[in-house]
Amino acid sequence: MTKNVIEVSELSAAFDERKVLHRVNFSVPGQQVTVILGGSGSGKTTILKHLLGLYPVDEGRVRIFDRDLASLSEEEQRLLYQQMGVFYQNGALLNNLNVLENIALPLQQHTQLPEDLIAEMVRMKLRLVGLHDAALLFPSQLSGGMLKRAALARAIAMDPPLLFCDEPGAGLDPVSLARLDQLILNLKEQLGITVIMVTHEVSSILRTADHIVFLDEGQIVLEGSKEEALASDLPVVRDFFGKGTGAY
Amino acid sequence: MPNTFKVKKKVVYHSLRYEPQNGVLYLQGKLTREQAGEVLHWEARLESKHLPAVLCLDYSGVRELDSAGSTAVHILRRRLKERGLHLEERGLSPEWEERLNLFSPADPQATAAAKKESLPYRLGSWIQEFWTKHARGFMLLMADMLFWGLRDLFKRGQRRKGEAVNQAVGIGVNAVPIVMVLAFIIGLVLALQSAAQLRNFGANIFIVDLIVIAMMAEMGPLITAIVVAGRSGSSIAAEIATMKVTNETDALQTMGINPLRFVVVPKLYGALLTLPFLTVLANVAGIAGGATAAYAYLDIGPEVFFNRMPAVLYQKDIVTGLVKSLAFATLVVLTGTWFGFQVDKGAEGVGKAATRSVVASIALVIVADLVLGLLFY
Ligand SMILES: Nc1ncnc2c1ncn2[C@@H]1O[C@H](COP(=O)(O)OP(=O)(O)OP(=O)(O)O)[C@@H](O)[C@H]1O
Ligand SMILES: [Mg+2]
Repeated sequence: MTKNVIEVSELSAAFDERKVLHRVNFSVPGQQVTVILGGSGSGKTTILKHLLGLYPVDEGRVRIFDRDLASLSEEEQRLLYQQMGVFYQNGALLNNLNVLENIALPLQQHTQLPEDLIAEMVRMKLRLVGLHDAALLFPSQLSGGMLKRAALARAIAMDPPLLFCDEPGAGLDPVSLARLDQLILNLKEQLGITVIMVTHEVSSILRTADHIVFLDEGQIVLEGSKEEALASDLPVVRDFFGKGTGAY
Repeated sequence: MPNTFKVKKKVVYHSLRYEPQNGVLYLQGKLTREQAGEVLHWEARLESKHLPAVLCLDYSGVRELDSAGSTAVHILRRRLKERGLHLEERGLSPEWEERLNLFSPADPQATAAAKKESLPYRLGSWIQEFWTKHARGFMLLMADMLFWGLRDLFKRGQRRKGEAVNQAVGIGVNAVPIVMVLAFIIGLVLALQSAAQLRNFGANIFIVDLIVIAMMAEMGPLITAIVVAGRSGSSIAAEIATMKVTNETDALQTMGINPLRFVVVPKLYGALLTLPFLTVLANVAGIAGGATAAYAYLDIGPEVFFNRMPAVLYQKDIVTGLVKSLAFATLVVLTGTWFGFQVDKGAEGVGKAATRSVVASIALVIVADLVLGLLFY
């Protein structure tokens, strides 16, 4: 059993009185793919933003690499960010830089590597996501799926041990999606990185997930392995995997 | 460790150790983004005459290898081979081999950066691009716009009822206060600046000639056009760019409606209809400003001023001013439309289109002013 990289305990969150997370507990085992599932509006993005330190943890506790998120100084938070790659739902590439420059940015900012090495690394990362012929295009010239892959290349630019993905699969065709999953699996197996992923794609979950956290209306209804989730009797979970009673 | 190759400056490398006598390069320790640059640094400093015929890369000491380190190794191998070296490799664990494969380089051809071309070549291709991408398209758009503008005059095509009037209000009527205030101030300043000179020659009365001719033929149309370019040129560009970005122009097109006729032609009518009047108002305000300064500084009363006016008011100047205002109106609408349609994607394109259209239309207006000024001289 691998060590837990992230531990969330009793995390609650509210937006102006309206509670969206109710005493959430779960953990993210290291070097595995943890998938956070749940219907629309169940609080997945909210959890992710708490883990990323974008929302302050008011109630409960979040520990990453054995450090309490709430107790980190600004400098420690910055160092922690260098350990995490984040893949935002809508890409979030900088519009006035081309793809190459976008991905080179974290490397230029955080390392002393020579420019030619950075350029070659970026091209290599773009090849990994299958985007090497788009290096000189600007984000506005990319299609939705290409934007996703460029965003992934940026997220893994620094070889982060911890990779967060918010709906990486949405908007991708099945072939590109399978390639993306394979890439994430490769990164996990060969580099031992830990992946936290929010996704709705059942095929993608079946391929990649090791550990599943299922959210419903701000509460965890299930946490366990993929097999446990598939065997679950809970109606919400069964509906999700398409084995429901057809109640809708 | 004896170094037989010439060391320019003593450098301590953490991630590699070179033994020239056996021709072995030991890669060792952490080959990660903190240190991977060393590998390339070493290669760059290595002088060709000290190279062995066969170089052995020994990986057995590598403890960590990330994407930066892998890339550095790939570049090192490539560069050494390019220098004609025969490479041997040893001590590569399966784990590191797999890592090197995962992070193997992209095909350099696929992403090759644009080659540096010679200056005349670049200048030539820039001019060609300017012509094919901008100048020609701009003229085609002008032809299109004038064609539909003329045709729809006689046949109410795909315009909405009252749209031209709406546009006339937006482009012309709402600009009246600002145009008149600015023209008044410029007339005043113009008279003020020349008053001192004219007084020296005792030529006070010629202030009337100066103000009337300058305002009617030059400043009136120019001020009007610049204000309209700033107010309406930018909003035309932003409106069309927004429609383009949100696919509204595509929607019009697929509904069988020509966006140019539907959106732009009413604006053209609005501008052509109001700019001559706006120019006349600017002339009036400018002359009033000049008369005020003449009265205050040169003791030329209003009766004297306005009595002299008919003598200097040539028909040609009036016509010149009005022709200019029509040309400027067309230019402002055309430039706004052009830059609006140039946008392809993205919200930031809208702002850019607006800025560019203002700058370009003011520049074009001034150039056109010169051309028309020479024609009517
Ligand atoms: N900034 C905000 N202000 C107010 N309420 C918010 C805000 N962000 C999220 N919420 C609410 O929190 C709840 C959970 O939202 P969240 O974005 O986490 O859902 P999600 O599980 O990511 O859904 P989806 O699958 O649609 O992305 C929703 O009810 C939403 O209305
Ligand atoms: Mg979400």
